Amino acid sequence: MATTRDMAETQQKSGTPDYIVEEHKKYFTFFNLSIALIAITGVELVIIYVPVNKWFVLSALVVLSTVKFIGVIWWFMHLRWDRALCTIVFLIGLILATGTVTALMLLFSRDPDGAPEIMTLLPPLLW
Amino acid sequence: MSSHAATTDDPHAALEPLKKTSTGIENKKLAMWAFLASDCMFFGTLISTHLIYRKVYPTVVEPTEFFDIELTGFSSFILLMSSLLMALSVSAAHKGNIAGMRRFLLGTIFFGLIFLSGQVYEFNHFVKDAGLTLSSSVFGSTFYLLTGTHGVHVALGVLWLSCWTACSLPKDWAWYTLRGGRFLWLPFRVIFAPMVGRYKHENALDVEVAGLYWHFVDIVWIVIFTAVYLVEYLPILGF
Amino acid sequence: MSSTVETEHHAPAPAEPVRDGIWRRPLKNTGLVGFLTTVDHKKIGIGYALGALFFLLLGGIEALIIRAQLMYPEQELISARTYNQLFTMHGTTMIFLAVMPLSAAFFNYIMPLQIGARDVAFPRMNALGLWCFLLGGVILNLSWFFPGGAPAIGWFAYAPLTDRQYSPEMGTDFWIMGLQILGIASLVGAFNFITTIVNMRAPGLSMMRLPLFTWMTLITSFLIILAFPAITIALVELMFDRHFGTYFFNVEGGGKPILWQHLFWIFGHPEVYILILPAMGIISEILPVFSRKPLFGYPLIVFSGAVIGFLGFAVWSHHMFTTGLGVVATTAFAFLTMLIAIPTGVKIFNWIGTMWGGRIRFTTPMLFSVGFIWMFMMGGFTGIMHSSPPVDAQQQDTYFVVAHFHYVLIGGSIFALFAGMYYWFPKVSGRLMDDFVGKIVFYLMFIGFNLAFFPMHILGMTGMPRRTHTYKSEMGWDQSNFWSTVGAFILGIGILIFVIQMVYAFYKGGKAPKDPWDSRTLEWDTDSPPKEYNFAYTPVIHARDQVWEDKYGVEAKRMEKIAPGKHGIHMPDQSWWPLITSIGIFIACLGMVFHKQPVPLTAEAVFGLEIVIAGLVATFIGMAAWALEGPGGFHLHPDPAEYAGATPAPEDEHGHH
Repeated sequence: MATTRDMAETQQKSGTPDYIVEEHKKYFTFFNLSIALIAITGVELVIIYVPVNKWFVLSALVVLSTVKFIGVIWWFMHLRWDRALCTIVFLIGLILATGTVTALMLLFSRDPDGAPEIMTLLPPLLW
Repeated sequence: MSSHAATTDDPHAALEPLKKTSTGIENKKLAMWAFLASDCMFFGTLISTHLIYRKVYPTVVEPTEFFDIELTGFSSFILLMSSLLMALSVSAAHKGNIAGMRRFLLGTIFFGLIFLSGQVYEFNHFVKDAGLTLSSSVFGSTFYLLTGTHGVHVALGVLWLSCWTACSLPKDWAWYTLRGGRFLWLPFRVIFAPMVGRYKHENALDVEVAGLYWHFVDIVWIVIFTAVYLVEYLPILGF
Repeated sequence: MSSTVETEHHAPAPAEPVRDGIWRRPLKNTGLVGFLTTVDHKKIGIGYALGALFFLLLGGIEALIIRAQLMYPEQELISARTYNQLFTMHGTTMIFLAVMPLSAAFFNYIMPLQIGARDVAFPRMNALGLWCFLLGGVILNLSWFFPGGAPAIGWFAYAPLTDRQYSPEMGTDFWIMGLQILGIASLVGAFNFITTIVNMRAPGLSMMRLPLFTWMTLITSFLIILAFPAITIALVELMFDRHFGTYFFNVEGGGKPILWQHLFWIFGHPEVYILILPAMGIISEILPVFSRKPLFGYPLIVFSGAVIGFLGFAVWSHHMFTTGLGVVATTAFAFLTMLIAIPTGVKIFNWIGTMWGGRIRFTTPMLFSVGFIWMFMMGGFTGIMHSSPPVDAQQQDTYFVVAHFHYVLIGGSIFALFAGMYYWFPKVSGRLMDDFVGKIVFYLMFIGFNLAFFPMHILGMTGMPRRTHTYKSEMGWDQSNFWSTVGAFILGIGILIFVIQMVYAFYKGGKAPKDPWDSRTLEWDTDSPPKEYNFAYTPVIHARDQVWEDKYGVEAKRMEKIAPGKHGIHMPDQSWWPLITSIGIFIACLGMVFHKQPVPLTAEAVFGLEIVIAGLVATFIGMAAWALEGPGGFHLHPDPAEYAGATPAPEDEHGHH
């Protein structure tokens, strides 16, 4: 990797346009990010089986997938390099959606009567 | 805008006129971000529907009995990889490296198709072995609609990227296939042949916009993977 | 990664013209072909307006039949089922096919002129919006002609009434697919307007110099893109319930009908603001013009509009207070609902402040605007009453609620839209409308409206339920219902005279100058009606009320003009593909309606998903050809007299065009 980076620097000296150098740098960012994303996915797959408090695991899952989410929108989707307005427009939708999902989840609770008979009596294979 | 403009050999300069807007953001990109904001609400509604019924009837289905988390984990891996390739093809497009862009696009499409096959296999397995159908229970209804809508998004993305791949092919490519398996390629020729050779440097923006869509489909999957699959393995979530 | 830049096949532009797409692009911009292939935001705006006015009359006739049925107790003018169909179609038509598209007509026509743009950002997408709107209206009203007739489910379509079991007829399917296609129309329009307003402002036109109507267009567009997904998904779920045996809202399989209410109102409440914010924008344009004063507290009006839009997403459950949400949820939603009164009140004080001390001219648009403030305030007060859950429990499903939302929708939205039509008609048609007749229309509408809807407050308080087909004489509702019906007919006569007056003025009205009202914003700086290219020059803006400053302001705030370059003004090409794409969507939607349903003549279910697939293929072909065709474009050379005094264009830096 280092050699390629050196190559990029040499090119800059030799008059390669700035935007090409920029794109070369992004190449390493993207590559590192994808490794991180896969590592996190692996961790997620493992921790669901770890015998600790499950609420702790749940919190970890939420944090980890949020990190993945931010990684993709910030680097893959170029928000880091684009104007702030793109981020703002997207965040409006994201925040409203998150708020709506949360509110809806809080508004519903477990059915005290349990599931209707049709859902409990028959074994799945006969449905 | 200036898509009618004569092509320029400088890939960077070709994109500059598109940035001459009040904010400096290209029109198509801004519209795509607005669409993605809207799509957040689409998937927010679908995910709510699914989670609400999991909360209301926590015990009626035990999804871990038929979920195949290794397969789903693999699908996630595939989709994340396709996102990497997509990012790289946008990067190549911005460099004016059309052949590189096309290779990465093909890779993205290939991984997208693997993901879709994984989903077909998964649905098939759920229907055949677990008896889970759209109308077997409300879990089936919400699960299939949510993951199915995501699958449709992936399929549309594959179609969209295929169009740009076709556009990026050199002009003489159409003649090459005509000599080769003429009938085998006929459907592809009918659909894609008019596109071949149309890619210009300023279309890097269009590839980038398609890429934004593709990455969004990926982040939706990140959420679905956690909220629909992984949490089912935490038995406290009888809510 | 190869580090060299590959230059594969981007040779210089070919000498011979490339034939884009499948056939040659239409070039004729007059007649039927010119209209069907138009991408001109002004023609599209007129298309929206004509469609909306047609549906306004249709929905109005439905309302008058309802009122005629309720004129006397225990009448049987129409059956109870027809009554249900009428109020369903009246509500759906007025909201989705009259008020929203009429607002969209102004978005389309006026907004690009106000920001000095040549067109919207995506002209062909704009055409798609128009065709989807018209075809959506067609689908919805086709239901009358099929077995079972129109839907009888209310505009809110509460589950489980909409289940196949309780509404087996196709009317409900027509309603679902009609709303779906109308949603596409609103969404593509909204993406377009957001991009246009944010990205295509004239030089110097900063966000805080935008005319208020443009601001409200922007906020409304955001509301549309964020609210419509909820109803789209809810409709998809309902469609699956009805066609594919899912259990989203079906109680038998464990579905919760209350979920429909939530999803519907997550959309439905922002929708209320989608209906009223454009109206507020129109009012904020008209009041300063006829008070000859700048808008009082411009930043506050913008900010309170945004706050109303944002809070609109956090109050949906106030439509469901009586469903038993629990104390915490009810309290929270009641509190948030009351909060909305603040930004709304701020706006009303700003409008009063604008008029205060002004030299007011009571022209027809001004009368409608002042009527709007008063009537909207009345509706607002009853709205605040509803925000209190115990009061709401008394008023739920009574005529009090009917009075409330007609005060905000007719007294509010419709009055403002009429104000807008009187105000901008000279700009759109180049003809003047007679002010005396206009005033007669206003007073007829004002008196008729109040006579029709004020008694409903009392009817509701004394317990008359909504959606009731008839009532017993002993209930003591006879008098109020009688006068209410009389009022409704007076209102109808007012609207009819308006339509006649508009048609007359279009052909026989006096010639309108550029700026007949002595107005303030940019659209009045161009011709009436504007040329195809809107402005012959690029306006450079130096003030919020630019046209006013040009007439009365100091030299430093005068508008500058930049002449078009030697290549002229670039215009987008016309296209068939938006129309073809929308027809594809239309076929797919119709196919979904007929899926496994008895069709006329055979009375058997003959169609699976074939029509849907055919429609989707047509849609894909339309979109692919659309993309292949590209925006195209040609250049126009306006008469140099039109940009006399403009500074010459700086030589084009990037050398093409």
